[in-house]
Amino acid sequence: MLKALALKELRELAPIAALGLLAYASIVGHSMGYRLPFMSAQPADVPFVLDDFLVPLVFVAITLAMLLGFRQTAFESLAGTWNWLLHRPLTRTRLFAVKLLVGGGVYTICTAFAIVWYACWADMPGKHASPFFWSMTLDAWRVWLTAGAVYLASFLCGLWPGRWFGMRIFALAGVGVILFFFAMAFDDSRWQPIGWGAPPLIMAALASSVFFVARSRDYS
Amino acid sequence: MSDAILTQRLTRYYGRRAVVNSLDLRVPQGSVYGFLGRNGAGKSTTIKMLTGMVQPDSGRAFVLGEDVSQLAPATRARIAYLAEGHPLYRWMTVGEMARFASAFYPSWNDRLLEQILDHFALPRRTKIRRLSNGQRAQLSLALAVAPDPELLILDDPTLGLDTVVRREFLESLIQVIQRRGRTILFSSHILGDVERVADRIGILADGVLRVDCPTDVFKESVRKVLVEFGRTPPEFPGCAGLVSSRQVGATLELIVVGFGEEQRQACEALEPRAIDVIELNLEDAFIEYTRGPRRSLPIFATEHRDVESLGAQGAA
Repeated sequence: MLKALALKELRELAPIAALGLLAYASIVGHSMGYRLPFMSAQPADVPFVLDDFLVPLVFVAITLAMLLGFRQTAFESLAGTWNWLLHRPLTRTRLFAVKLLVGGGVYTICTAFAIVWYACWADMPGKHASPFFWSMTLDAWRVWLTAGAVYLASFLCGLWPGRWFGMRIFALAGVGVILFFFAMAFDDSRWQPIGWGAPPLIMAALASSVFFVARSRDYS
Repeated sequence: MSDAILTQRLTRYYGRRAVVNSLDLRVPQGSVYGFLGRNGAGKSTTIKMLTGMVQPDSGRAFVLGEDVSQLAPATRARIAYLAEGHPLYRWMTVGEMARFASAFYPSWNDRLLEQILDHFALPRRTKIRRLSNGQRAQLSLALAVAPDPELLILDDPTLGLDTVVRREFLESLIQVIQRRGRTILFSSHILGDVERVADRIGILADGVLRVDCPTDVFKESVRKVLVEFGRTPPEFPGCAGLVSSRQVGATLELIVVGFGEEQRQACEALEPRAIDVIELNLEDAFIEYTRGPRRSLPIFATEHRDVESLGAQGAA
């Protein structure tokens, strides 16, 4: 039954994942110097350091994370299918764990794929006129980790039974502000451990909030 | 006989309003229970509390002997629930939906599902979004019945269906009922539907269970009593079983449960010209039982008076 549920989630998320992969392919292609429609060819001077990769990556990763989180929750509410799904004979914890694993997995794989693809290209000799070390990808992985928390925040916001949709967005905005604050800490090397530690802690808090809300909220 | 559903002082507030108020409901095993009430009476909220979709503010509910707040997946597998509006994944085809649903139940009866789908002529390759409301209701029923549940909880299953589809749906439901030992709780405000299938009814009014008895007993016990006077009727002092009383011209119209000698004496004490006791069908009984003080719109009353005065002019 968990496999059936995971497949259902995957099929629902497939169009969003496809769009995300397309957007990532555009960013990577652009950074590699390919001429793409509506974009000028701009090969990277120094991959991951002096290029046009990181800013679009932030934008696409956050958009993808938000779309996935809301698709898995708010759409069930809009379609009225919570009542059907939650009446299946499995615990809510397991049901939501499957949802989170699939949604989080799709986000993780899509975003990691873009970073790894670009890094592999950067690692190939003769592709650009600068040295490349895998440590140069750290900023991209930081974006990947931070947007993972945005996915969980979006999932929670979509699940939150606020009467007014703005109330749900407050939670997402709150998480955004906290993540932005911790992301800023990376710029100063003294605070980097906190900067790296904060997103996983926030993600753990968000995940447990998801399970709490899923168990305690009304599905009316 | 044990109870398939039992609630103890089940209460739920929305804001300050008690949508369900101290509900003590008992649905015996093997019975078909028609859960009636007007829009907003609290039927859907009660059903959602019984399925664990809504948490009660106080009180407890037991389904198949288990507390709803701790319903084990194995017990949930023995309960079918048709939510209002038949929500299903519209992007799936009928066949995909059936496969998806079957993955959750070890006791899934594929042959029974095929029979029901064939009976309803539901095409397996059609997307659910392309099905009519009636076909979606039929598919929901088929999916609910296929795991062979002991208890079916149906929240207004015929809402939005036309007369023919409703009749077909109910006939299928009757076939489902005929499978031994199955308990059904279904809410509705279409009394004809309830009359066809329910052997017991409960009427919820403003969150309070006002009636809980066998259908026939309810039909036989509610009476409209017309107490006619040649003058303005006096105030009715009240009697046991009085549901409502209102003045219509020179007549006092009473709705009484269990009209007997005591109630007749209370009427005769007012020295009326005549007393008429009228039997009500289930629909009339339900309407009289649940409608509030508001009656027809004043414009209709005016028209009525106009017709009366026209009649008087004609006679002159």
